[in-house]
Amino acid sequence: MALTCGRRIFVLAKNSLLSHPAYLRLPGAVYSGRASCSTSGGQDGPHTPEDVMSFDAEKLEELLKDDIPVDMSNPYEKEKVQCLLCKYDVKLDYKNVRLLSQFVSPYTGKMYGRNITRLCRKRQEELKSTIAKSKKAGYMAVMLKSVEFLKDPKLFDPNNPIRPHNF
Amino acid sequence: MYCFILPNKLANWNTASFLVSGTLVEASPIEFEKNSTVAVVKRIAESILDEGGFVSKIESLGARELPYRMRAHGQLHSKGSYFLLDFVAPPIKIADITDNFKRDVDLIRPVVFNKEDPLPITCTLHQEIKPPAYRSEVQKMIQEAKQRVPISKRKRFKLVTSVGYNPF
Repeated sequence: MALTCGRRIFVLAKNSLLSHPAYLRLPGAVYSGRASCSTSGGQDGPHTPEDVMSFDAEKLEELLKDDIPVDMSNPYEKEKVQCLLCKYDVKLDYKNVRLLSQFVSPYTGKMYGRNITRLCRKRQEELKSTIAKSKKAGYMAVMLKSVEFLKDPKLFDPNNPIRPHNF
Repeated sequence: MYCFILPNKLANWNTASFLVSGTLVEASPIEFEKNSTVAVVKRIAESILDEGGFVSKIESLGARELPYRMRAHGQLHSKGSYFLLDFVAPPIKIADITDNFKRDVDLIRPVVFNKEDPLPITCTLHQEIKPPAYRSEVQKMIQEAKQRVPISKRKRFKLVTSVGYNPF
């Protein structure tokens, strides 16, 4: 004497799957049985929530076989911006005067700041200490940029800084 | 020829970078030995050995005009030969070794560096580029400021000028 309701209104037990909103509920094929709102006028006695709906686990597994989330890192994650030296893993050496001179102004011989070189803080500190080391050891010129290095390719545009500068 | 195993921290690899006055000129093998620049490099290596160190590599970076004129032992130098010496020595003796180099008249700019691999750095540029309100350092500063007494309270003129206890 199973009577089904015209509308599918389920009894909301607190922790049941059926208490989830419509878009989270499992496909209807998984459930078998009749709706608890079916009224038989109290003839068969009150229905307990357990015998109203039966849950078919095998059917559920079959349906979700291709739909289960796979363990992977976020594929839509944006690539993090890296500074020049980190990106290409460039090692700074006090003997490599040519590389160090690329970060030095041709007008004053001073090292450019972070607003111009666009390096991360740690790399900028490393560059600063390496240039100081090179100058002290007598490899790199102090007051100027060596003439041989004036036509080297530019790693950044000193006229387009993030913040204005004096040199 | 004998092998020695050095524990990690007891003796560190060092590089000595020298500028030797005068230029190294191509010469026959016999003259090569007598040449002053070679003699200087030999002298330096021997001084390290005398202090209980070991020289592993001697490298010449060539002779050229110096990037700026350097004064050493009362003389102004504008040309020099660059040499690199890799050595190991007991840490106590490194100060003595450096002192000996400074006393050598033929060395223009003796420098001793500790050879260390730089620590691996992960780029944090993507965090530094963020607008100030989103940067972790700025957020930390705001938290610290909140913990401090606000300026309005700090700068308020204190009417009570007593010591806080009865001094008599």
